[in-house]
Amino acid sequence: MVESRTRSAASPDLPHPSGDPRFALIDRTLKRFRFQQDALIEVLHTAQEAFGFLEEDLLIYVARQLKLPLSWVYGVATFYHFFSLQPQGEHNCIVCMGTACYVKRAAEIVAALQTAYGIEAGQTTPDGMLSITAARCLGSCGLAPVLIVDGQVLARETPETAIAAVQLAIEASAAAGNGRSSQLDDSYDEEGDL
Amino acid sequence: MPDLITITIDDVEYKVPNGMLLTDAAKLINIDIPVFCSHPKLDPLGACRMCLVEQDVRGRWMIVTACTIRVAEGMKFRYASPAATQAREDTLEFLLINHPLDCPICDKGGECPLQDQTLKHGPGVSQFQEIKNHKAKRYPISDLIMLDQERCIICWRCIRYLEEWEDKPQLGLFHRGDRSVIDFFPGQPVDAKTSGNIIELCPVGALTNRVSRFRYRPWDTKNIDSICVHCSQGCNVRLDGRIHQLRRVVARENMAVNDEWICDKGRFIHAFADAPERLTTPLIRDHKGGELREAGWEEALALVAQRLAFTADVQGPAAVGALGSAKLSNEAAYLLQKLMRGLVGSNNVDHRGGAAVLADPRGLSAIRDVEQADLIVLAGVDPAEEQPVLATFIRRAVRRRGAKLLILHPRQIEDTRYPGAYLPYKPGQEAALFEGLSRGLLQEARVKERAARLAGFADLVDGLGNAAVDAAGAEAVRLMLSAQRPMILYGPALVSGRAAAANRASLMNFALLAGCVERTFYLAPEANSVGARDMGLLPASLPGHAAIGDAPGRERLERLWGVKLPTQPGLGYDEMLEAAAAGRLRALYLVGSDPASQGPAGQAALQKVDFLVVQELFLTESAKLADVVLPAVSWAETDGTFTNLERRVQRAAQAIANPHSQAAPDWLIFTEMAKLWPAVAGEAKAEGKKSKRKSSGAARQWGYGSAAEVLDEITRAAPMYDKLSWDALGDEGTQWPLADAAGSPLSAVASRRLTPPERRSVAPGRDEYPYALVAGQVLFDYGTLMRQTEVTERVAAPVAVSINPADAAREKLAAGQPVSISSAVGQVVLPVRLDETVQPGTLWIPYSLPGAPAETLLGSVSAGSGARVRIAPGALSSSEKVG
Repeated sequence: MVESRTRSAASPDLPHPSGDPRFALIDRTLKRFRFQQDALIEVLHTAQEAFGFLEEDLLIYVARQLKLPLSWVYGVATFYHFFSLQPQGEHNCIVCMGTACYVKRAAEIVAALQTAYGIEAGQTTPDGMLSITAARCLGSCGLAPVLIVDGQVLARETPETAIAAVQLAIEASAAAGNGRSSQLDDSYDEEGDL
Repeated sequence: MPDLITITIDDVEYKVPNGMLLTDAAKLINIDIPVFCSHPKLDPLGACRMCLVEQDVRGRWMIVTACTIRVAEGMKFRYASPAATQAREDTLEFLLINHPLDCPICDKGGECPLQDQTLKHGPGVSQFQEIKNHKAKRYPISDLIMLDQERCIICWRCIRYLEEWEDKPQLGLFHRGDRSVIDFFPGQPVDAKTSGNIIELCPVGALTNRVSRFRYRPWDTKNIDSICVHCSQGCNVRLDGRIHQLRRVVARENMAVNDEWICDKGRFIHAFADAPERLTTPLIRDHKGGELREAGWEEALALVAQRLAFTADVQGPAAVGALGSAKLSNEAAYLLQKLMRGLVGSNNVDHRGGAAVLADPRGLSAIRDVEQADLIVLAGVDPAEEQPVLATFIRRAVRRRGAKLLILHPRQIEDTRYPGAYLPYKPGQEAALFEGLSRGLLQEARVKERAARLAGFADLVDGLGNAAVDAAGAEAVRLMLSAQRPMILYGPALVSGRAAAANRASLMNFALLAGCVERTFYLAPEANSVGARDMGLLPASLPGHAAIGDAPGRERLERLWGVKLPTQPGLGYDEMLEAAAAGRLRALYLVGSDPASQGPAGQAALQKVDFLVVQELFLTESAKLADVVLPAVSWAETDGTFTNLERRVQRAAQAIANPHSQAAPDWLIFTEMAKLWPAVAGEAKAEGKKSKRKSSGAARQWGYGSAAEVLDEITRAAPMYDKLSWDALGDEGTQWPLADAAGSPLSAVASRRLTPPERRSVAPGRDEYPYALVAGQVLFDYGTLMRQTEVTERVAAPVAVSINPADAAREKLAAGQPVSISSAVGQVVLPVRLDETVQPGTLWIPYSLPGAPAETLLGSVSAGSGARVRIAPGALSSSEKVG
């Protein structure tokens, strides 16, 4: 779709004016892929890992560097569930709603989590502790219904075990007193539902 | 002749052109494969799945998308098979799952491909019993276009148009699955100049026209083929009228002119045709200082005829002048100058941008030629603002054919984003810039060798000197020399003003040296800039470009009109206003021109004339000063022809009529006025009495019964319009031929002679006025016609003076701060706007802002598009408030 663009706009190598060192991580990925436009997803991965979520300013930066239309970058960022445009909670619970998991009552798990924490899927608790996400398919249908809590894949869950697993994760970090632990394992395939 | 191959559809063999898309090939053999995403003007995508057919792939029948398959020898398809039919039915059923059934209030209802396909190919029932997805239903994607995300079927046509034609991919598809929506990046709504085309492309009612929304039903309008009169391109449009109002404007295909696109000005700015502020009766001011009162046509026309004739008798014909407009139709322009020359006996007839501009009347060879060029030189023109559809063709040449752009412009215009070179200049430096480029060209041996054969070569080399060429100039020269099919486009800004002749000479020298003078074209600015010149709406030339001093040409028209014509050239636009201010011009007839809106000088001039007639749509600033105001009609309310920038004469037929208004077409006003002219009326009376005195037939001269009859006379008056009668023009218009103009004054323009450069005393920017003012056209300004459309305020250029941020910092000016700008002739106050595309040392103010700041600073039309100015912080006091 996107024809190659040869714009004479600002040089792509200009660092982000804010001087935020996290942009250096993005720049490193950009250089690794020699500013190729088809490296967009890789660059967004890096951006999300560095910043936790993709804010607009970040997307604008990536679009400029790759000389891609903003609408294109935004489209890719919204297409994949892995990318988040809102700040994420310290803990993350992804419930697979793919066909196999759905048949195995994943919807009940989502409903139970929503009731327990008072938020909808796709939202973060007001205290910033937990984000609940419903994913299309995590590609692990044999383990249905599947949860991913803070990057850890949990198989054959029920509403009760799901809440317990989430609670455990929250309490563990509270006990350890450390903050961030949302290092998602990105080994699963976001395109799994195709 | 394309090579034909054989394909099989439903066991029948057909011969179709090789490589054609299956959907198009099927159309040739009357199989109408339904499509949504596929569009002949957009690249194939295969997103909507509506065109599913079966194809024999190595013995297995597979479901494929017909809109992406290019046919080849021996391909076998099934269109009507149960599997293919079922697949299309299922697709439609899926598309309709989340599509709201609000057809009764949907603008697209009645011309909606989704409705039509559902009726033709749909299952008729839906198995879907769940709740439909809800999305945004009134979601503005720009000030002009509303998106209903629920109706959208994700065909990508709008995304693709903006990407492929506008090269402004501002819309994208966000999210996925049944949540997919068309949207823009937050805070970056669509601002493409031809964005309205996506409304027509949309195969459902998802994108709607915010100006026309809910104002029409497609089966309920009377649709008339016409053309757009906002710029010189003359895009073909269809005017949809209902109960005497113009309800919407849509594009009409004309491959030679506008493909099937029109710009947003053409599509959205038409409210002026039915604005309640329109003049509906003639107005008369009985004595100076009195009020305008309503009057009948008879009284108003008789008064105008008598006063103009009286002034011509007593003060001499040179004391009467007329200012027309390049927006008038050929018929109106022709009759205005015929009235002035034939009845008043004066050559004082011109229009804004007329005699003051050294235009090339031949215009562009053909619009679509720009797509064949591999280097397009834009000299002092910004097609994106001035001819937006032409700009999309230029972008197409750049993106599809790898053309490069060499842009010479005082502002870093949008198209400088493309490969090529950009040479900025300040108004007044044009000639020097082209001389620099000519020097650069002459450094190349082969250029020098070729040019040495041209007349005037030695003088040119002598005059150019041997100053060094800077790096940007050298790059421009390199581009020029490496191009196989270069094309130079220049605009009125380059060839008007005091330096017009020198600028044009230096441009033509450059073009001659580059070997591209035959491909150097003038882009006329207004709807009928070319036609007004052809019709002789100029002080020194008659219809058909015969010069006033050219006796055979003049005598030909004298025979045609049955009168003696004045032999002295008349006054131009500015000269007439100057003469009026000096008291030499006593009566002035304004037709579609509004000098009073162009600053205090114009107002003062109009106040000095004894008798001012204004023929207009609205009570303009000039009309407020008039002694007689004659209500005219817009292009939509009368027949007329317009000649576009490629000399194409096109018809604009009457689409609507307001029964509550007495306003009349220009041609009819002139005709009826002429009949009341004392000499004509006297003659008619004498004829009535069967007097023995021989009549010259002047009364019969003005017996037009329709605009088409006026055009008939034009075909005899202007040789190049020969054979271009109303019927002959057809729906797509006809270009008047250049060949017939050989030997006429037109061929003089194509002189192959080099002109030695003028010795200019280089006037350094005086400290008193350190900045160069740059003025120019923008698509959405605040002109009289624009102001009648509500959305205009939101899309129009900001009312401000734009300055480079570096200059602003040096002058200690902040954005939004009011500043006073003064030139030798005027002073205005405007807020500051910071803009990096404005060159340091220049200030940018578009034409036609409220209060006419640019025009005030320039002082007159012939000042060209630049002036020296200074800038100083200044508060908006109540007495000098702008707008």
